[in-house]
Amino acid sequence: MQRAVVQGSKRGLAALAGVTAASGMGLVYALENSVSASGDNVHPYALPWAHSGPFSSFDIASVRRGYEVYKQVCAACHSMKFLHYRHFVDTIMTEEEAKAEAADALINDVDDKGASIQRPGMLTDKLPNPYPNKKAAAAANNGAAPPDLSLMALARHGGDDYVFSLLTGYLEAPAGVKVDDGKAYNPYFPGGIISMPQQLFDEGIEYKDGTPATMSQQAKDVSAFMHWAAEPFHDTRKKWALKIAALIPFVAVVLIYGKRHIWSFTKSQKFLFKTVKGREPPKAQ
Amino acid sequence: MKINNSLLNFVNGMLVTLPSSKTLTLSWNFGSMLGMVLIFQILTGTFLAFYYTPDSLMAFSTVQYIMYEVNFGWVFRIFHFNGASLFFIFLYLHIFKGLFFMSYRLKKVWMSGLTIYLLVMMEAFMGYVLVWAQMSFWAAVVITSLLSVIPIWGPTIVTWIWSGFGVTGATLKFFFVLHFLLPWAILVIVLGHLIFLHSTGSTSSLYCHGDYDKVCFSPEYLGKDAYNIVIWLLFIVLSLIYPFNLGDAEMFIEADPMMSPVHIVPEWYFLFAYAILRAIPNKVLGVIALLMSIVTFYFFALVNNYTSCLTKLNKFLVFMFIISSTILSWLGQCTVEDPFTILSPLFSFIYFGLAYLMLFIFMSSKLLFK
Repeated sequence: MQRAVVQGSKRGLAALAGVTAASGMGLVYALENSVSASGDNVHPYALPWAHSGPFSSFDIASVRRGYEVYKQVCAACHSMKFLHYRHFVDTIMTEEEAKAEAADALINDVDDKGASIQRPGMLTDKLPNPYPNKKAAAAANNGAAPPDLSLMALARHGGDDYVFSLLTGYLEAPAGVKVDDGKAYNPYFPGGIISMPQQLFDEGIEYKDGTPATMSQQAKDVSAFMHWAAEPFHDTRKKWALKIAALIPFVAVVLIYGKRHIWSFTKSQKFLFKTVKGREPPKAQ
Repeated sequence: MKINNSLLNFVNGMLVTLPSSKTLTLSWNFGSMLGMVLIFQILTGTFLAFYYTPDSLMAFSTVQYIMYEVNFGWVFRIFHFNGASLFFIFLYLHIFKGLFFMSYRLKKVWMSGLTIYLLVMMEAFMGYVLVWAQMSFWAAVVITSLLSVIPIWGPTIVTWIWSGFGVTGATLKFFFVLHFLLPWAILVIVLGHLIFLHSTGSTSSLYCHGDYDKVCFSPEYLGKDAYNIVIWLLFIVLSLIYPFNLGDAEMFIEADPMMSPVHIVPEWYFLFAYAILRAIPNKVLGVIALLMSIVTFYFFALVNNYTSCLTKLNKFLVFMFIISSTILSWLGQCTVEDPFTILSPLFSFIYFGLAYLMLFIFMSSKLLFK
């Protein structure tokens, strides 16, 4: 009778705990959705990038095309101050190609007499900044300085998906939304009004490798390039991760065996209770 | 065998022949794992310090210099950044394990442990600022401003830390020096923590009066501690695959005193404290509550109660405490709007209620067995 009551109450308690936990989970899920729904911009769709997987590498052909987009479209306003032409060598270009790209650029410099000059670039130069300083950049762009693109792929929530969506997300402003001259409406940008008008158009540039340069193709390629620029070590780190991951099972086996070997005596201990002559328990009287 | 050297005897008694219960599970590995991570952080941090410049115009650029130009600099930064998260993961597991097994019965260990926790929080915060990104700068502004609530000396202390009238490059130098020096102090206190612990040995779930049925610490528990290497290798793999998942995108935007981010949130390991701070719409009371969220646990060491453990009740309360802390952490990263402005004070109240309930039970349970 007593045991039955205890079992019954235990079952009831377990059921109550289960219901409470489920309710808690439901509440958290609902609230988390409301958090995601907050904010004043559209959330970018998750896209299947070539480099998204835990052990996936960059699509280098796409990165190369992305550099072409950057050079012909983005470089007019955006700098990439942490990137040098030498970073391209043996990663996305050969040394000759990188040198040729550098030579194409005009680099601000000072000559032997201290006069300002512009010279062709070389491998050790940074990708040039089109403006001398941030204020000049802002003045030339309706008060909004174009941000440096070196780390842009990592510097925005949503990363590559956000960049792609932003570049392809321009559309006519809805009724009631006031868009000033020189600005554009883009639902992916926080606030909706962005100072960068649409930059990518079908066949806006021509790819060297013959790929059709549609707007989405250009957006994909330049997004991949920007991620590569922010994480040049990306492929290396995944390669290393794979090597170390392959090592873990063997290390685990050795450590587990070693520990169990050390503990074998303790774990296999037996306790024997026996009577010692002269210390027998007293006989019942 | 006996050795004549007293220092060797001292070390031997703590690491080799220390009588230890047979029932210490992998939960007891958390402490040694933390020791490993601390050494790892000191090593990686020292190497990063070679190339870092604590100047407001150059700090962010030198961080990127480490990432782009220094041979394998990116590896050290990734490990150092994620190592901090790994440290806090095991630190919280270690604390919860301490609550489950009522480790506050070992007073000196508990007090030194809480001190280490506070110092590590300061260390992590200062490291966060050194990146000199948007979140770093504004976190520094917010957190250092909280010190102004200290009576009489508050504004002076804030001005001293800022080394000026706002967060500037001088503040960065201040934090860099402290960020580099503090780990060595933490290391010393950790050694003290270890000595206090190994003087008495760990608490365990199996009561054993006397040392007649125990094993030596070495080689049994050294072999068990070696399991940490597997966890460490897993950490390396995860760091390399997801290097920045635990960070914010704002970490890659250089600090701009003219523009603040839309949302300012600390790293994940501070979110529960941040939620408690925001739950109270008064600066002074908020700071006091923030401090008390940790200082409360010092009071546990003031109670003399070594044997009266209400195990099941304690386990229930600790689980509730873990759940409320987790929910507070989640609330800390939510925006300030309904219903989060209601839930924050509610769960802050639950957090403190549970902590003081545990303390009360710890004080009272002795009376049940008198």
